[in-house]
Amino acid sequence: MSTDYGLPLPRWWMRLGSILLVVILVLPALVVVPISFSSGSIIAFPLPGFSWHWYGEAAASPAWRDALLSSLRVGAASTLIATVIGTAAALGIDRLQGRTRAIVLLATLLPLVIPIVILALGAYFALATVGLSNSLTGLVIFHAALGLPFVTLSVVASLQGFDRTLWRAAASLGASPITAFRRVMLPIIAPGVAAGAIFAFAMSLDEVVVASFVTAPSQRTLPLQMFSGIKENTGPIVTAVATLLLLLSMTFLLVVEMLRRRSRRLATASEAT
Amino acid sequence: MSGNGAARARRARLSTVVLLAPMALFLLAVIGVPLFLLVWQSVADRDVAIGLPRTVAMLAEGEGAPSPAIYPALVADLAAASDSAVGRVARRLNIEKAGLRTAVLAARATALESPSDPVAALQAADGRWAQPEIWQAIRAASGPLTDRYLLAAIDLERDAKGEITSRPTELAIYRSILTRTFVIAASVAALCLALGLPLALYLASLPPKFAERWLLVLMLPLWTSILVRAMAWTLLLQSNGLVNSLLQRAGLIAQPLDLAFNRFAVLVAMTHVLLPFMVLPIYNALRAIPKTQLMAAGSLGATPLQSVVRVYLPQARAGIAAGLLLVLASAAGYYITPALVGGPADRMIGTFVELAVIRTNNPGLAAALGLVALLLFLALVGVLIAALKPMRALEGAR
Amino acid sequence: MALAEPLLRLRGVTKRYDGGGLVVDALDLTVERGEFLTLLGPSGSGKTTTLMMIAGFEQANAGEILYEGRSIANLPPHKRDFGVVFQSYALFPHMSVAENVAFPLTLRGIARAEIDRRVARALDMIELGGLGARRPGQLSGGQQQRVALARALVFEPKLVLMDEPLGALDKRLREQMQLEIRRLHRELGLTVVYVTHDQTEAMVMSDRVAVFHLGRVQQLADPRTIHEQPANGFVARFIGETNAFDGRLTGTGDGRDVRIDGSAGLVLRGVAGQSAPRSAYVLVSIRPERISIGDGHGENRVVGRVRQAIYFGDHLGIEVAIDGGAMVRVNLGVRGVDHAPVPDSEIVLSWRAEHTLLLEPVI
Repeated sequence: MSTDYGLPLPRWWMRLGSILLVVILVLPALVVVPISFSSGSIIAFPLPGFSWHWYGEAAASPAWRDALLSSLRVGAASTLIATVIGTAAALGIDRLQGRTRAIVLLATLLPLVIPIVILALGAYFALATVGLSNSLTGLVIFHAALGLPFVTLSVVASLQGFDRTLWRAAASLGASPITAFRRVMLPIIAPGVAAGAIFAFAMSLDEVVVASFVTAPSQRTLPLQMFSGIKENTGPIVTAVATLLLLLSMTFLLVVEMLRRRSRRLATASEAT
Repeated sequence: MSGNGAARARRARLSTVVLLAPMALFLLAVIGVPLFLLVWQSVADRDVAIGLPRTVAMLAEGEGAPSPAIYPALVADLAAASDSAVGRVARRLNIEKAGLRTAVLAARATALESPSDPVAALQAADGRWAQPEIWQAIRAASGPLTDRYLLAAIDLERDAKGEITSRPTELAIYRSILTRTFVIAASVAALCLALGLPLALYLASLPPKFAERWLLVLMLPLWTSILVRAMAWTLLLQSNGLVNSLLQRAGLIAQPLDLAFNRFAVLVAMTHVLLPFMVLPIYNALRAIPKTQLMAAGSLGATPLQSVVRVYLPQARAGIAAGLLLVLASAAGYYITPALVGGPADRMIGTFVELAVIRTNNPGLAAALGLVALLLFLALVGVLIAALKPMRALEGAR
Repeated sequence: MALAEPLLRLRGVTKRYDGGGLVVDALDLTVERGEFLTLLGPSGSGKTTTLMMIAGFEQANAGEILYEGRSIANLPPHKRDFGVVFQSYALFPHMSVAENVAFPLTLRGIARAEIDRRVARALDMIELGGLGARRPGQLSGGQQQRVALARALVFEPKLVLMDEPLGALDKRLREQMQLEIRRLHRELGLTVVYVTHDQTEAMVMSDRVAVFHLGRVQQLADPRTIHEQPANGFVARFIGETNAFDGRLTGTGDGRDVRIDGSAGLVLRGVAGQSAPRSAYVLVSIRPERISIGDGHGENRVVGRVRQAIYFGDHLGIEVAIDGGAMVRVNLGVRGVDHAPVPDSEIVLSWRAEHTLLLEPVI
């Protein structure tokens, strides 16, 4: 057997440990799925029987429906803002080099590396100052801030795969900078933009802390509704919603993976030989 | 022509600035302004001075309270102030001395009736207006700046003589909460590093195609709602949960173990949430290091362990630093998971910030707690950067 | 006199890197209508930078570039109407082959039917008629390069610029494409500026070759002159094989006798090269294929010892050590030699004075 100088321990041990770790990482989230089909009204094992009951409850409940609508609205609006600002910023960062580039890239990460509760408190003060307290508009602005790093990083990464000579080729064939951007660069980086946007949307759909600081109790978003559902132990209806969210996440994950493959195919296809 | 080249370069720089400007302005609005307001709120003390200008001016002139002359001023102030201004005065005085809110609101009601004898009317509305303490509270709260919130955030206060002393034990909770917050955050970061580093090393040793499949699976929990995962852990760990019932059925334990609603559950759930944030940056850093370096190390006589420690990891410092930073930041600020899966002794500073600003209506204290936590966090990041020197690794790689 | 004006003229063009290093140094160059001009030189000699300045992707720090007598400094690349072929092909990966070729035509507002017709003709021209619907990623390297060529030619550019277009292809394919580009040049009457570091490629394809070194054109001439009459030591060494010796003029025999350094006093008779030496120190260049074995082949005669003889298939390479340690390389056609000289045997070499070029030493 060959020696692996990149591994501190024999390969088989590392492999076994890694498999164990990933299983522990993935399985727990799936626990909610069986409970959501429980015919009983408490969240516990063993399950008394199978039923779709809680899905019906969730669909029929105005509180859950309103929460879902609020979340979708906030998510869509904040994603749009984050995508426009983040894509522009990524195009700017792509023109920078060396130290300036590193500093600007780090600055785009700021919303991710400030502890979220501190950002949420600052948001509370800032929105109170401009009279946007207790509004979904305020939440949109700060969710856009949290989504911004995902979009920027994703687009910067896809721009790195963009072969600069394509830009020159387009110009030599008669394309103005705007035409070259629209017809050559944008189609090639589009998967990166879309992946970043999906990340930003998923983030908004799962965000509790800022939401609990800046929204009014009457405008619960989906995570807030779930949070109170879990705290107040309102039964398996929460697990039904959780299962639906899980399904949504899987869809997101698959779409992003498809986009990533497409983006890589475009990148490798444009490389020399 | 040289002038033309310079003009083009200037245009290129300008368009770069135009592309970056929206983000810069946006970040200023959503990070710069809020952080500035956070600092300001932690020391600002203007509510009483704005709500009761005449009263505060007279108290500042050394008018002995309760002297009859000051009552008409207070009535005039309370009659002139808006509802929200009065509310802020009541809130602020209530922080200075618990219970004063009702005294202020009673006085407001009296003032709006324009009493002919302000002294008698106020003292009749609430007996506390006859005592000197309420006037001392107004004087103490007359601003414009105060250190009481920052002191309170580290369990200190000023006594009657203005000397800084410890707060009474039943109020002195924040130091231990801050310590607890950063102990939990650091423990989670250490756990993530201990588990994530070997995993990243293993993934980096695989052909990229296989490694990507692993990463896809690794990303799966990242896409799952954090609330769902917190709930899942309580379902697994509670006394009638899956883990306990499996262990009991296997005959390993007779009584259910206490696994949920304690520090153990907090560490498990938070490590679970944050592990991918540790693995991804380290994996990316390792991937960028040519494997031939490891073969070279081996050919020079390094054992696998030596080549990992002395050749591989030093070059991945930037990735390790990024992972630690992301995990520390998330763990320090995200108080929802501990609130759901932990016990009362596991509540983090975030819970108390929310409590102060939303439930007990004390934004000054909330801001001070947030500021102290932020400073502690930045100090921790500083130590991290000094220890790992990630920037040097980054620039060396470029 | 519009017709006397060359198609393109570079006058005093200078390019500095931001750090201050000189890439192109006060370059003067003309491109005539219909010619195939090659910029040849080692990497870092400034040839690609020059091409990119013509295309408009780089800005000169000084000097001017004139197209039909008018400065094009203010013309952005997309308005220059110059076709550019890149070494990396630069095909758009999200478009099909036909869409790639149609791209410049769609930008020029040409009618759909006319575009289709011209794309079909262009694809036929490069013999990829059936592959229009494919993506570039599904083609081989050689096919991709043909598409890039078709795309750069389809809009009938006034000038075609090629930046090492064959650099990524293997030898056989490269030679085939050289002939094909030559054919297109002739048939379509193109004006081509071509950059390469491969001297054989430059020889095969060009009407004129500009040899670049250190940001300057060392020699601008037709391939044969470049080879037979190198302007200086750099060109002599860069183009083909040569025996290059440092030497010193002896001051006798019309000033054409030169004492070779490191040769125990050997004196050769030569002729002044294109750039006559300005001092007594000269570079002596003798092409190995001009040296014969035995006496009587010219004024210069040398006795040495065979070090080794190497069989190359089309010729025999012989290394001869002469007194003092200098080494002379001789190339003999295989037809004339029945058996190779035996190593360590004594050998007599001779050649004519006119094949002994006295040049300025290498800069």
